[in-house]
Amino acid sequence: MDGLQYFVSGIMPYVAIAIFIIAAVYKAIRWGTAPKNLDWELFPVPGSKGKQIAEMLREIIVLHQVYSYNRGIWIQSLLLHYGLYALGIWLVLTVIGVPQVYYLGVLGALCVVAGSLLLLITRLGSAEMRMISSAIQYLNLLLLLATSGLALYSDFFNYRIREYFISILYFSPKTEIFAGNSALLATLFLVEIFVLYLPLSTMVHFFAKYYTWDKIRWGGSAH
Amino acid sequence: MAIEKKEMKRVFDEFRALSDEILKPDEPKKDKFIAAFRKMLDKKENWTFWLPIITSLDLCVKCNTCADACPFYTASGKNPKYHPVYRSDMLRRIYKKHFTLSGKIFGSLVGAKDVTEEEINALAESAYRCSVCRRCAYVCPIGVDNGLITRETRKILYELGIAPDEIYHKGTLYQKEYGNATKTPSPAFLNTLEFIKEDLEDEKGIEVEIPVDKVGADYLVINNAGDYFAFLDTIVGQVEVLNAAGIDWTYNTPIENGTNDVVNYGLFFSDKELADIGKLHLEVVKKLKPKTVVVGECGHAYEALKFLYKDIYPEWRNVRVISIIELFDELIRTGKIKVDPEKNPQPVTYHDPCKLGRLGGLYDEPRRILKSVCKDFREMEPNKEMSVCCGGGGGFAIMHKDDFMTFRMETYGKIKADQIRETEAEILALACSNCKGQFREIINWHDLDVEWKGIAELVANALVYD
Repeated sequence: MDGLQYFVSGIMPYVAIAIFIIAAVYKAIRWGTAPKNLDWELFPVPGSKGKQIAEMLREIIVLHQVYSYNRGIWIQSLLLHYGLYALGIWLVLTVIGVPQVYYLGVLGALCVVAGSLLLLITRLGSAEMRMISSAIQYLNLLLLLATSGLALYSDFFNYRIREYFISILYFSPKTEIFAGNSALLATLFLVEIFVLYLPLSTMVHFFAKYYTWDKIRWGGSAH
Repeated sequence: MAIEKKEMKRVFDEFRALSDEILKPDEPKKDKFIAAFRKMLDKKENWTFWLPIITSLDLCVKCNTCADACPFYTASGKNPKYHPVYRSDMLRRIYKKHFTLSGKIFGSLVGAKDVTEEEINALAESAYRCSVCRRCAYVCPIGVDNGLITRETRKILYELGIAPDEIYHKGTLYQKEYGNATKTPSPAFLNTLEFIKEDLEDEKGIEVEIPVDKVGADYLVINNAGDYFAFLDTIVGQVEVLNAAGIDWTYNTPIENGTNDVVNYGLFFSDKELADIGKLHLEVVKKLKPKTVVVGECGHAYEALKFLYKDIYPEWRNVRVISIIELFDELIRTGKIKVDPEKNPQPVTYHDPCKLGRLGGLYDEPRRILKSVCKDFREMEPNKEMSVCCGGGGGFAIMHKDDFMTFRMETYGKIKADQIRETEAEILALACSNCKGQFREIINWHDLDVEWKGIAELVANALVYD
């Protein structure tokens, strides 16, 4: 157990973060250094950079495309994305040391559980979606569901996790925090898997969309 | 038109877009296919569309948003084979299997699968069941472009010598050899213009000038050469309007190493052919030095000349390109021509061509024109960015071997027929040659009580002379 505990809480965090950074930077460079493609816009194109940013924010905040053209998965998607946004904010606030942020983490995880579960049910319940899905689409949702569900079960968002995060940043991980708590250790493991897997999967759309919209759909310049 | 159906092998569905002579369904082609695919994924070889194709292959989350946007899929009664993601996945599976680490390691778990000879045949036909209208790309939350995947698939096939003869052998190759895809020699072209002059004089009592090959004109107007045969009324209307405006304009002959045909079918299946035809257009512009190139009523040509050439040929960046629709709009707004909407009293509706609208951004101009020259303009629903492709795009308007016409008419065509009926319009205004070719058939096939007209015809009919 000690060896596993040390591996998951002392080594894996750095592996996960390293893979995340390397993969994300690799993809950013790969796409960012792409030769300028022929103009392949879709109109209307927002008339200024400001309007483009506003449209992108509308996408991030309300998932406008999904709302407009695939309402049947909008609530589920919104829950999932809001949950992930909340967890991202929770992480930052936790490290900063903002009190009461525990509830934000719990709320975020609840949203991810609900969103991923509902999306899973939607996908399984639709013959059309089953037809176009590979195993990986289900596994992605199961990973999100399992990670957030286990985080709630293991009380991962407890304020003590901050000590651990800080210790990670100081390169002296307090692996003892996980001693005797296999559920918490399992949660951390799934979180690490999620972090390292994120930029390698289609979930990378969280920043790939900058390229597909700004560089392609909008032609890379304000019109 | 069902002429070769019995003899042709079925490789994907009940239709065939590619002849057996071109597809060679029994000939192995996997190795060449994979080699051409590799070339398509090379940043330098395929700089023109590398980023759009890579992101489109990598990022689809299978959210199904594109399904209801695809006219072909919906009109087919949601035949699974015609789902836009199904079609893209036919290529994506091979991409993952041969060109991604995850696909090589995890295989079918991540949707990777090797391709068989039969599947390559099916993929080739499937690439011609999508008109690349990009309605699915417009609605995609991620920015995945199934239309582009179709076009890139066609590019791979072109490397294997596989492309519909109507747009390749009888399209771009004719255009390169004869100066236009209709194989019309200059004397015959000039005779047609002479006929137009006489027609306007006899029918309307209007004397017009039709300048040809004038150097340094304000406007060089290039039409789809097929319009001089198939849609001559549009050309006649155009000549009348341009003369009424009193502007400095000219048509052109192919001259030397040029073309008097604005089409560029390379847009549908090959960047090499796209560039080759672009060079012909560039030659004409270099010789005639117009201040503005005006693309006649042709959607895909507008996309090519307005958006695509400038990054292929840097000289093209100095060429001002507009559509004839923009020119008419300007002539009306600036009062260079006077029009009376009472002269077109019938209810008129308009079909947004994909290449002028969703891909070209011309939504307001045709509407301003039609509201100026028609008494009763009615919108077709849906319209503008969500307009449904007529089914003539992507080269389909001139493709009709086997039972392909049934495919065109009973899918895209069926949707458009219903939309036109809903408007109760008596005239359908069209701004694109391919759309005209498709709607001419739709009106007959679906027995619609509507007449189609080019924008130029409606503007000419509304002209008021001082």
